[in-house]
Amino acid sequence: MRSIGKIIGYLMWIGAGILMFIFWFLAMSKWLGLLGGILAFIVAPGLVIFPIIFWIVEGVFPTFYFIVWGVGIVGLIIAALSSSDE
Amino acid sequence: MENLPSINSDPRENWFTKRIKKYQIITFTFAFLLLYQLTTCLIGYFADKDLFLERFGLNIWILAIGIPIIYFLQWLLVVWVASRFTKESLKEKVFRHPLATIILFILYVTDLPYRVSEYSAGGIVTIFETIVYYAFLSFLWWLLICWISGKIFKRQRFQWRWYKKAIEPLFVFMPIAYKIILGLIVALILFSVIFIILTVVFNYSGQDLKMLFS
Repeated sequence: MRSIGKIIGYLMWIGAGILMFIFWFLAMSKWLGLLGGILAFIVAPGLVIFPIIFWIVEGVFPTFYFIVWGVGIVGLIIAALSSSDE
Repeated sequence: MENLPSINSDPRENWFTKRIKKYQIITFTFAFLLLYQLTTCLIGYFADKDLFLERFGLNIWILAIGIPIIYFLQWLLVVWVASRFTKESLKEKVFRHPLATIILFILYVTDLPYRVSEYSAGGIVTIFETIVYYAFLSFLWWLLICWISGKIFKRQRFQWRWYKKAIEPLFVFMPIAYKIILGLIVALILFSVIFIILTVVFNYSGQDLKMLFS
């Protein structure tokens, strides 16, 4: 049960991470073109810097980014709870 | 009888707690499938009551009580079958009946696409449930054939080295693969459910994604 809890938690965390990266990559590509795409792989979005920039540039709050982040945190909590039982 | 797996735990624990602790993955699988079926059933009912009753022709209470009872009985059966074997005794049985194992496996694999297309509703969980359900049924058929074969042939007829080499890693790989596949499906469902709840809570309209793709 602990092992499957860890699998579920980490998969949710990794899935959320991939979706957040796609969001970051698409935003960077839209703003800076090919250079942005390359930079997305090199530069980290920062905790709140990228969402604030996105909000300022696009004029829309990046709710999707934070919702996915929230789901990832739930996954991490599941994984941590499964690990702490051992 | 001495080969049967022992359930060592606190003597104060009742029969169910002991088995839930001993067969955690089986219990988790059934709990997940039960929760999924109940939820989809209730959502279907509350989404369109008339269509639901017309299609299934049953009272919702019959389904709401019947589904947990069916899953509980299935859990009891699977746990009982699992309690009859250890990993080693099962491996020994597989080694002793290579022909039955190979034929039943081929029959299971060739029959599976038809079963999946007929019985699963198209969702990932129902496909998984159909695969597991028919795997268990095939396992019971295999046990019966092995038992009959054991009665007829007292000594082992066939012994192939390649067969042993193929079975050994399967016994290591299968439990891990099952956990990963089940974990992946549960993670996917949980991810979707939490995502939907959060979008409802924050009144998310998808405006940021529209801007991103515009």
